[in-house]
Amino acid sequence: MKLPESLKFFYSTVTWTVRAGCVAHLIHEYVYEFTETRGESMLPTLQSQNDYVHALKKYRLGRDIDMGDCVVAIKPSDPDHRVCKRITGMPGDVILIDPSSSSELSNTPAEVIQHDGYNKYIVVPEGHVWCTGDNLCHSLDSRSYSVLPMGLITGKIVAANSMNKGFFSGWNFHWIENAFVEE
Amino acid sequence: MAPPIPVLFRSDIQSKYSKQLSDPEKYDCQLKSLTQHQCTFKVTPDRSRPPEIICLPFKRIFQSCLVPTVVKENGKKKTINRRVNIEITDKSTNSELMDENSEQANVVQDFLNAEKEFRKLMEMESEGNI
Repeated sequence: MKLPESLKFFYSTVTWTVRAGCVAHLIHEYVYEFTETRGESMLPTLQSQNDYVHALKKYRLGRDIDMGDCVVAIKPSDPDHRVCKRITGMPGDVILIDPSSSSELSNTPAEVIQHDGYNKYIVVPEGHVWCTGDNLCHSLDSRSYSVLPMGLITGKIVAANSMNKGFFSGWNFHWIENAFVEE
Repeated sequence: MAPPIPVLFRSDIQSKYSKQLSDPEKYDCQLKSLTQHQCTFKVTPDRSRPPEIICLPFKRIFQSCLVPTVVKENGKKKTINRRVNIEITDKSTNSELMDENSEQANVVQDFLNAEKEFRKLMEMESEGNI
């Protein structure tokens, strides 16, 4: 039986749309993602509004990520949301839970003593990382929801654009560097 | 759900990793740092302008050492040297910032004033006065 031309055209359009959708999904899931970030938790690395990040998906599930990298991950306390954080503890690392809780800058002298932030350590368990926002004063991170399973990491942030900075500045394209450096 | 993790104290860490911390060269230790920030907002009471953001660095220091670790490979236990970051941040790490003669003394003062105002504004908002 020969199909009418209009039906053939409809069939072809539908199959090519589905194929294009699958390719877009595969790229978004496994290769590269360009996505908006909001919130004060990554200041001053990322602005609280208008910033978009470039994330590489070869680092998904925490593959080849390192201390000091910025990652996108599914929020452990709310799987419908994602977070951008910096890795501040790899499996096996011995780290302070929250040294900034005893920072003299953002705490009263009584709080500095009470929080005892330079005395409380954990060892990061296998298959997990510790992640914190770059703005330690306004970030909901591992200090609240504890270690992050590496399986929740969806990519590593390698660069960002600020869309409010204008086309002629390249929307302020800048690389996001690893912050763990030799002293 | 994160697994339960015991909280250890500085004395526990110092005794567990005493060899690495007392003889860093022997364990190929590298002194590393990771700088994050503490930010606050300079808000105008009527919120007519976007808040000015003031950020100051908060540095954390680590000894990255090779630590003998027992691992299981094909059902057999073996010891390998694994690189472990041991945090050694303490009160003195960022104390320079609070020095009255530091280069950033003005910014620190700005931060403290803004933080005070910001907290006051938040309290007023939560009490429904604004």
